[in-house]
Amino acid sequence: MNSGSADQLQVGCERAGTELRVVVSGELDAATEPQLVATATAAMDDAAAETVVLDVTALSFIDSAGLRGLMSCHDHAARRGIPMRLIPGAGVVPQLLALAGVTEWFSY
Amino acid sequence: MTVLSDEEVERGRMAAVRRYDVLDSPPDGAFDRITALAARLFEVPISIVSVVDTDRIWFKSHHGVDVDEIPREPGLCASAILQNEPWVLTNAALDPRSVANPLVAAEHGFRFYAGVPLSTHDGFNLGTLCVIDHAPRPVTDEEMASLRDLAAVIMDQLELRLSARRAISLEEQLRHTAESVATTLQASLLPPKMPEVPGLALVARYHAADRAEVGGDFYDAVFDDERCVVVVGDSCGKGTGAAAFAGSARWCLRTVALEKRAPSVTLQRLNAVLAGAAQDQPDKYCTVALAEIRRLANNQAEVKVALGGHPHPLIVRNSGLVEPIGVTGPIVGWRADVEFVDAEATLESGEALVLFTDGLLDILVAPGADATAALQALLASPGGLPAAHIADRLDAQLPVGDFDDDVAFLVVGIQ
Repeated sequence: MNSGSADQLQVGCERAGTELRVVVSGELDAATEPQLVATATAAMDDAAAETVVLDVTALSFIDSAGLRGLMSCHDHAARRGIPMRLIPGAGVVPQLLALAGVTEWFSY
Repeated sequence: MTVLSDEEVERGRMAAVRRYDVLDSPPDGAFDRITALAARLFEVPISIVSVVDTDRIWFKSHHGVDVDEIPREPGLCASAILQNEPWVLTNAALDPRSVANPLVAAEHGFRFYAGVPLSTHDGFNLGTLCVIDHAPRPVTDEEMASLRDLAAVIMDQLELRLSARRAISLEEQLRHTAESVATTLQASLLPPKMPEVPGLALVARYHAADRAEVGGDFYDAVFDDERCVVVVGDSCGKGTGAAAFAGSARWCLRTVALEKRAPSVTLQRLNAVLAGAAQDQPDKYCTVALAEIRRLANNQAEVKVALGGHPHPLIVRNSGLVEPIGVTGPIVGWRADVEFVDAEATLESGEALVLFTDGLLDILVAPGADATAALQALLASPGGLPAAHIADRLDAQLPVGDFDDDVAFLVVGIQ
């Protein structure tokens, strides 16, 4: 059951040289997705990074609204001309990407 | 300032009495404590919280007297509410205002009465808080100040209860409105009933997870002389935004289906329209399973399926086998430049095609587990299953209590 309180998602942003690394864990759904998008896009805007890595290996849950969050981050990076790599891990994310037919939309 | 006639004042007063909804309400400890306190404070045997009705005086609390109500005449409280000041009779038997009152003239009649009106914020006197003794008694200013304070506490209680009742009623109203909006909006996402298509049996079911929140699942079926087109879709997210998007998708599909193109092309056109309207409905997408069914001459039907980010529909064979059909294409309405693929199959008379939303999978299998195997176990039936039976078997899987996501499915039986 996903009651969707904000503390179910953790988003950490760190700079390593010219790379911005956004590490996400917890549950990504309609309640938490805005938090990811707000944090990640703000970090992309502030950090003047040349590349972005979105690491969702530690997500324990993702639904269709969570997928929207990943795509919004991807599209934001693309609009800014910053290459974004997704590290989907082996869990819930690759399954959902495959089901949604959007695996190829991301770089890895 | 407007001066109200006595009749107008009484009409307004009775409206206030009804508004506070206190008449004939059950006993209440809060008021009983106040009358007990007032009696102790004045060292008198009787204290009453009265509410003056049109023809009676009803006692919300009565300390020291075992009576629930008396007629309005000759009640002393009825006189007390005619003014906004406390009404005091230190010796009622000698007071010209009360000497003839039967409550006073009777044997063991009252001699002392002090009543403070219970005044609403808009100036109407609902009743009184009064203290009564059988013996005459003087009264001090401090005592009257205390009685006034206690009367104010009673009014605070009544106001609190009124606010609470209003809040509850408002909440009920809001919930009712929300449910009604959700139901209406939801209904707009589904045809009122499945069409009667020659040679096919169409059965669709929809189960909302939450009555007050509209989901984004939709389904539809259209047909002409040559073919029948069915769709099951799921708009990302929940609530009115998701439902509005699902509604757009449903009607757009109906329009595009008129072109009689292959499902993959129909889906591509739908995608182009929805993605092109992205600035109107940002951050929206949906998943769609679209199938075209053509009856062939020889008791067979040709099925073509295109998928946009949606779980694979299943074919329930006469052999009892259940097989998925479809090639996964991307979600619909996010990117303009996408393509979809048709998958084809031939179904025999008695076989069926089942389209569903992922809410059904959530109920049947653990995340990521094999849905086909679960449905195989559920729908395996040598000789095939009629569409209605398939729908009933799926319905039977729904939990009795709450579930997380809406469930929609559509079964096409080849007759």
